[in-house]
Order: sequence, then structure tokens, then C-alpha cells
Amino acid sequence: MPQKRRPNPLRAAFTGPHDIGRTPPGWALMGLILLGFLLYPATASAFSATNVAYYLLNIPMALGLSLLWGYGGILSFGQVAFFAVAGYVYGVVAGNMTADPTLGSILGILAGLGAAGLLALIFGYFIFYARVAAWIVPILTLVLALLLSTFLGLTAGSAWKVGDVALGGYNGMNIPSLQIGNFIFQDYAFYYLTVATVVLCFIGLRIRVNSHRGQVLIALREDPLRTELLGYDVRLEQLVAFVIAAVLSGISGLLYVTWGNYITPSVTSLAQASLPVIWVAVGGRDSLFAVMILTFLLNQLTYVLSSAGNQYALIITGVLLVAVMLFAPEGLIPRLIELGRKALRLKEAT
Amino acid sequence: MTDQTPPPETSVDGTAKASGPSRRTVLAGTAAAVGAAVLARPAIVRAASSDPVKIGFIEDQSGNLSIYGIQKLHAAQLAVAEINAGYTLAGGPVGPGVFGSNGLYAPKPETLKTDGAALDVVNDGGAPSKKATVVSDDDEILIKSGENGLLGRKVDLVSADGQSNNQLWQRLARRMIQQDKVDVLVAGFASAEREAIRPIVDQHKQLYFYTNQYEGGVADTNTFCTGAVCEQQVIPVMKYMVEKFGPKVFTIAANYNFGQLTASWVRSFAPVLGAEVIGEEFPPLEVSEFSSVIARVQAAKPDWVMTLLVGQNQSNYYPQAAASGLHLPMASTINMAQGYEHKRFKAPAMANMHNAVNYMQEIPTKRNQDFVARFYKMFPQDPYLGQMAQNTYFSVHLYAMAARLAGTTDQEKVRRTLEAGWTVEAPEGSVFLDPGTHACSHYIRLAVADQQQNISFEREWPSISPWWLTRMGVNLIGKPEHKQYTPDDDPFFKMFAAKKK
Amino acid sequence: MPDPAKTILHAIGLQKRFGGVVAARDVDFALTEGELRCVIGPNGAGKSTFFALLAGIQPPDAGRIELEGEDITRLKPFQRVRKGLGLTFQTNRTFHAMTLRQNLDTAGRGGEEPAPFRAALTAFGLDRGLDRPVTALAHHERQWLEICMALRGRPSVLLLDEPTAGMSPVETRRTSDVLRELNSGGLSIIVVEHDIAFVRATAQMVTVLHQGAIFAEGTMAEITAREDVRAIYLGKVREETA
Repeated sequence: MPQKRRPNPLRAAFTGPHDIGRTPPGWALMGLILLGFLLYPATASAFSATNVAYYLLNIPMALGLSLLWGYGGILSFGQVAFFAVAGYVYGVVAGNMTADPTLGSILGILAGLGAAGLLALIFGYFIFYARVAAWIVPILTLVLALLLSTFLGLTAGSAWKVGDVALGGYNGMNIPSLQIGNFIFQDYAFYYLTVATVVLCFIGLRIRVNSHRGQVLIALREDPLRTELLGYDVRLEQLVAFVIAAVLSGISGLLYVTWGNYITPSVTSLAQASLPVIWVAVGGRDSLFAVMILTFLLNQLTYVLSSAGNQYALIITGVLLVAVMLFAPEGLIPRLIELGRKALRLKEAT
Repeated sequence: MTDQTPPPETSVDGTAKASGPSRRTVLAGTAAAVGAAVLARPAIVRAASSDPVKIGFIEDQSGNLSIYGIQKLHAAQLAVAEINAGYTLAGGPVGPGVFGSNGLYAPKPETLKTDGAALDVVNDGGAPSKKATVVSDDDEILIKSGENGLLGRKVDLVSADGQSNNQLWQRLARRMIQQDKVDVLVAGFASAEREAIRPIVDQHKQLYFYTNQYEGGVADTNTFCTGAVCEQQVIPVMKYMVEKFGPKVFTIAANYNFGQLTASWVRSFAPVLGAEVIGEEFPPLEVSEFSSVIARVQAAKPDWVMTLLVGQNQSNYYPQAAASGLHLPMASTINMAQGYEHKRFKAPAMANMHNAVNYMQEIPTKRNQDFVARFYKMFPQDPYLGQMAQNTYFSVHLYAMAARLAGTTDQEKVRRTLEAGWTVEAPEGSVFLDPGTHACSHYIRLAVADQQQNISFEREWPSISPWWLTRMGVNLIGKPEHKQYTPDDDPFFKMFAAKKK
Repeated sequence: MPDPAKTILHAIGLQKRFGGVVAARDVDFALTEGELRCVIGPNGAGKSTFFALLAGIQPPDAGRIELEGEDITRLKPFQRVRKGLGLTFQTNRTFHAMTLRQNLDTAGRGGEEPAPFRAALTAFGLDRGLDRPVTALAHHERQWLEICMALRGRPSVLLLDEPTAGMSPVETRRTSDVLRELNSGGLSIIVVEHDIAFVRATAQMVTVLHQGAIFAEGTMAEITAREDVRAIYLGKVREETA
């Protein structure tokens, strides 16, 4: 007899059914990884820590896409659009408030995330409430990203100035660092800020997917009509997931612009738009944990390859995607875990 | 004093003293203004004297812009090879005497005190310069430096390929600054690339040379922009075109920052020069089909056309215009000197093109032809030696000259030494680094392509200074800044904004 | 207690066309509270359209639907479900990636478990092994699970589309028993059904659809007595089953 149980959400985040790593070995692994990241700066230069922060900063965007696509079945190719909107809006707000950097940073964050969420709300409303077919959503979202990229590229003229800050067209826009009082988030401080943000996003999403609403989202992925006929407003549920994913992309966008103090329209180019989909697909889209790990590793891979002068980083990533889709369509990490379990069982059997 | 690298604690002391009242040098103003920001590089980064001097170099060796980037890389390699072989360019800091006079300086002056008491950029001791006269076009500009390398150390060029990818540029700049700990960074073709890395440069107070021709306006304490800017190119070429062909001009400019800003220079200076902009077109960068633009130009019947087209796609304009029978005289500030379109396109696509350049390999002076010979001896396969490559070449030499005079690679001190104002005898002619704006005056020539696309130089302006930032009140010695001015900041340009169609 | 005088679900003059085909023609249909009604008809009679119109999956071209006196014609399917309509599909549409418990929790919308649901779950023998994945269930068990899911949402009217499709006679019998048990507890039920044996065992009242319109209505005895009904439907079925 099913009992109505309302477990503590934080407990559900670590024991709930909708991700890997819900048993003690999984927790131990997570703890070890986190400990490694917390201790890493002790042995690393500020430069290395800043690089590692770069590999980490796309994780919120990837987790958002995992929620939207892996759990909700809605594939978006346009997450970079929200990334860019948050970055640009932060740049405009903080750039106009350099006299009071603390307030500029705070308002910039709020405005950046608000703008990303609002864009998703409006765009998502038209997509989901028009009940467009599921296969069109990736195309529409991609078009959103490319339109934004094209538009931002045309903002070179002097007409495109918001207060003191010029949008800058292809030349891009310079953006102030996050600053609270006299404390500027850079080097190690930025690293820890990024680690903390990633951890919070991860735990927050684990709570979400293991809650009732998370279950509804999965139901929606499985069968939208059945879900509607259980009394759920499918369009609203999809829109909410879309907005959450957009705000998470915005968080990555904010980390990105405060990491490099710069943004250009190329962050929403076709190549960039495809990257989150690759990270999520290769990792294993219906596992937040797998997506988090693979996003880190793939970002590190492309960064190291391209910084070493390798022009084929994107091609290598693309080949990896094709290979994984052919040989482990559920994703690399779920497949590895499955293989590991099989090997273990084989060992026990003999 | 061969070991001029101070022990680590000196830098801390130096910081304190820099803002103190005891310092009395020509650079006291700078020191006070820079204040506590001075010498922010951590002590640990200071290299032992036997380590090579590292010149960080990022250009696009692949991707869209590689035809420019490889030229620049090779020019930098040539300059580094010359420095390591014991050569330098003629020139020196502006000393007492006439503005713009060119003096040679002693390779290792003894007067430069790095003990914090004085940083004297005037060569008031040691072996005096023997040839403190203007260097002529036929004089040898490559002279002995008195040492192999720089400050007794070998010079290394640490180069990386930016792949025409702005995000990668940022990472590479970080790597160069934080990990390779380069003594100077020389980097950037597109303005977008420069703007991508400038925040990182400023964050780490990295001495940075941007050697490209660009739209102008960068006023940044850490950045030296050694290429020509709009006022040095747009005005001369317009003046020439108006005199020779008439007042009516039609502008076709790429719809991005460089094109927009250069077009606004054309628009704003047209009334001053007796010209009239009768039409403007801003095709986006990805456009490669120009029939409608060409039709509008034909309908407008201008006397000449200002083409500010950028990149592979847009270069299609020239063959298309030629094929449609549009044979109007053309002016530009970008074509031929960088992307050698006159060598790449079949004649007569570039025929009748006029460009005010600070360098092309065709410049017939002996000093240039010697330079061209040295370059092709080292890189016999290269297709062209263009304007940006020459700028890179003299900029690398200029850095070495300043560091040698400063007696240290300490970035702050080298920067302040550069801020003495320098004349360097470049292949183009004398180039003067303006201390207050960190920009260079240039020897400008009007290059014209004939029907066979051979280049001749119709007019010369031996020294055009980059006056616009000075006019805007920029003085980086007195007032540190980290921004880029645009024509919007200048009321003069606003007067003509209404004319925008 | 259910009030037999009260019409709980009322369809008035429903019309639906698909191109040239009339799928529903002036359908007037009234279900009284506590009634167990079967809707039958040959293939193409308009049963599926009737179900889709009641569920709100298709909007009617004309006509009105009332649930407990409230006009729900313009409501979306999820709103109708929240108003008290519980639905199952002809084809099995449980969530395969989930366990039984997750399926049922999803169906519950966070509310309390109603008594009929608990009764049905026990009666179908699904109350054990709730943490099994749905894929571990046999076909008929998934059908039953769907009925339980519909009940979990506290419906006032249960609308089932061919719930016994693909079941063995024993399973069909058990389904019929449970539905009658639920009905005797006061639940109003409409079953759109093909299987005459099931209808005979289950229904109090039968509505016969033919060519999109209501052809006949009455008790099973009345319906089977009618020559014309036999002609269009029952006769054919007998021939088939013979």
C-alpha cells in the first residue's frame, strides 16, 4: 500500500530515484570529487585555478539542459542565447554602475538572470502554448540563438549604447568583475565562487528532479498526452522547466563574463550552440551527475586541445558525440556504470 | 651592472617609494598617478637573469585571418632573430632638442638607476650617442646593439595560434600572462581580439603591444597601439581623392565596428575636406553578393568610392564591381596593404585603388628594400610582407630598445621608459611613439594600383601624428585610463551625426 | 450516496466532423450519478471520437458537455481531469521509465489516496511490489494499473476506453468484477467497449453508437432484443465469435 511520504527534500536529493549516485558508494564518490575540488587550489597556481574554473563554469547551463532535455524530453539548441543575454545584461548594468561596484554586481546578477528568465518565459510561452510539435522546438531555439548572434553582431554603431556601455558589435563588450566591497572575485576567489555555484545548482536540481514536480517532468517526457490526462497542465510544466534551464544558462553566462571580463556575439554562434547538447548527450542526458562530470571533462579537453594550438578541438568533440551516440546512446557514464556492474556480477558469479 | 634584476623585496619597496615624495624624475607624475598599482606583479614571477626574455605573441595562424597572422608572426620572428644576433633598429628616446629628432642611444647606459631613487630615461651618461641626427631613407637602420640578445639574456618568442576565435584568444592571453609569465605581449589582428584580451591585460598590468592598424581610440595605460589610426589614413586619402577626382563620395563599409567607425570619420571630415558623402552602404560581413550595392553606386554617380570592406566574403566586391563595368576610382584604408589583394586578384579588379598606407613592401627606399630582402631571406616562401607585419617588426625592436635602456624587463619600468616618447627608424621611415597616447606617428604614403595592379606611391606625408586622442584630452602619463574612445565621445562628430541617412 | 436522479455527465448535441466524415452527429448523452454505462458500437461507429470529445482531446464543432452541471466544453483535458474526470486509454499508456509507485504518485497530483483507489489496487493484486518497474508487469496488469492511476486522481466519473483489450476471459471477468464493485460503492463509470461478453457481464445500461450517432439506448436485454441493433452490430459480432 503506497503511503503518502513527504521526505525531506535534501534527503530526497541524495536518495531519490532520478539520478545515479543515490547510495553510499555514490555519495562517497561525490564527496571525494568535491573534496578534490576544494583542496585543489592548495597545490595549483592562480592561473591553473582560473582555468579549472573555466571548465566548471558551463556546468549550470549543461545541468539546465539535462533537466529540460534528459528529464523533460524538450531538446533546446538555444541555451547559449540565455547565456548571452545574462552576460550582456550583466555587462550593461554593472558597466553603468562602476561608481558603486558592489551594487552594480548585485543588480547586474539580478538583471542578467531576470532577463534570461524573462526571455525564456516569453519565447517559451509562444512555443509551448502554441503546442508546436516536439521536433520543431530544437529548430526554433537554435533560430533564437542565431538571431541573437546576428543581432548582437549588428550593434557596432554608436546607436547601440546603453548608458555608458556600448554593445560593441563583433568587437564585443568589456565587462567588470564581480565585486563586493573592495573584494574582487578573481583567481582563487572566482574559483571557489564557481565551485560553490556548481554545487548549489547540482543539489538544487537533484532536489527538483526527485520531487513531485520532477516526476511530472519525467512523465511528460514519457507521454505528454497521458500526463495531461492525469490532470497536469503540460504547457505550464514545460514552460517552467524551460525557464529554469534558461536561468541556469544565465548563471553560466554570468560566470563566463566575470571570468573573462568580455563577451562577443560569437558565444551564441552555431558551433557554441551545439556544445551544450554535446556535453549533455555524451554524458548521459538523464543523469545530472553524469552530465556534470562529462561537461567538466569535455570543457577541459577542448580547452587543453585548443590552447595547445590544436584546431580540431570542435571536430574531436563532434566525433566523440557520434561515437557515443552509436555505441552508448544512453550516454558514456551510464554505460560505464552498467559495464562496471556487469563486471562485478560476473566476478561474484565465478 | 649586468644583473639588473632586483631582488624580490625591492619591488615591494619600490611600490612604497613610487608614491612617496622623494622621487624626483621626469616621470614623477606617472609614478604618483599610478600610485599603489605600480609593480603589482608578484615577486615570485621575476626570472633569474639567465632565463630568456619572453615575448608573448598571439596571432591567427589558422582560420579566417591567417593570411595576416602568419605575416605578422614571421616579422616578429625576424625581429627576435635580429635582436639575438646583436642588432637593433636605429632610434631612441626623445632627448633634449627638437621634437622628433632621432638620436641613437648607448646600448647599455650606466645611468639608469633601478634602485628606486631615480628612473632617468634621458641618456645623460655613459657613452653618448655618436649619430644624433635625422636618419635618412638611405641610411642603414639595422645597427649593432652591442650585445647578443637583451640585457644579457636570449630573447624567446612564445607564440600561439588564436585561430580567429575570441574565446581562445582570452585563454591564450591568460596562459601567456599567468603561466608563461611573458615580459611583453604582442598580439591582435581584429579589434575584437584586442578587446577580448585587454581586460586580462589590464587585470595583470601586462605590458601589451597591439600592432595593427585599427579604428583608433584605445587609451589604456598598459597598451601601446603602434599601428596607424583613422586620422592618419582617412584624411590624407580623402584629401587626395577630392583634389584628383572630385567631391562626391560613396562609402561602402563593412557593418561592424571598424567599418562603422571609419565611415563616421569619412562622413565627419567630408565637409572639412570639401567632400560630400552622397551615399553609404553597410553590407554585413557575411555578404558576398554585391549586385544591389553596385547598382546603387552606379545610380548615385559618385566621383569616387570609399571601400572599407573586410574579409574573404567582402573581397568579392572588387571582381563583381569590375565585371559590372563599375570603373570608378576607389579609395580605402585597408585593402592591399594587409591582404595584398593586388597580388591575389586578377587585374584589373583592384585597378585605380588608392590607399593611404604606412607600409607596403613595394616602398622603394633602400632601408625598406634591405628589410624586404632580410625578410624573404628568412621566409622565402612567403607571399607578401604587409603593413601589420612591418608594425610588428618595429614594435618588437622598440620593446627591446626600451627594455635595454630601462636596464630591466620589469614591465612597469619598461612601460615608463616607453613613455619617454620614442623615435624608431622603421622600414617605413621614422615612427614616433607618442608618450601621452601610446600611439605612433607614421610615415604615410598614398599607394595607387594601376591597371596591371602595380603599386606606385603618388604622395607622401613623412609624419602624421595620431592627434585625435590628444584632442580628446588623453594623457596616460598624467591620467591612467583603460578605455576605448569612440567618435561619439567627440562633439565634432556629433555635428555630422544628423547627416547619417 | 449517489443520487440516481442527478445527471453527473451530460453531453448535448455534440457534433464532430473530420473532413467529409461525420464522426459525431447530434450526440445527446446523459450519465446519472452512480451509473455504470457501456458504450458499444461496431468499428467506425464513433466510439473513439466520443471518448476524445468527452476527454477534451478534440473540441466539438457544436454542442455542449456538462460535468456535475458545470459547462466543461471549453476546458482543456487537464482541467476536466481536475474537475473529476478520470480516464484510461485504449492502448496502454503507463510511464515505462517509472515504477508502479511513481506512476501512481504522478497520477495522484500530490493529493490523498481515495478509498476506491485503495480498494481497486488490492482487488487487482497490485498493492504488492510497488517498487517494481512497470516493464515487469504483464499486459493485463498494466491495464489494471491504468485504471488504478485514473482512480488515484479522485474522479467523480471514470471514463475507460476498452479497458479489457487484449485480456484473457478470466482477466476480463476480474476487471468486470472490480468495476462493478467500484460502481456499487457509488462511482459513476462509462466504459467504451468492444467485448460483448464483458458488456453483458458488466453494464446496467448500454448505449449503441452507429455512424457517429446514438442508435439505441437501454438495458442489455432491451438492446439485444432489438432487431436493428442486431443487424448492425450484434449479429456481426456473433458471426465473428462463432
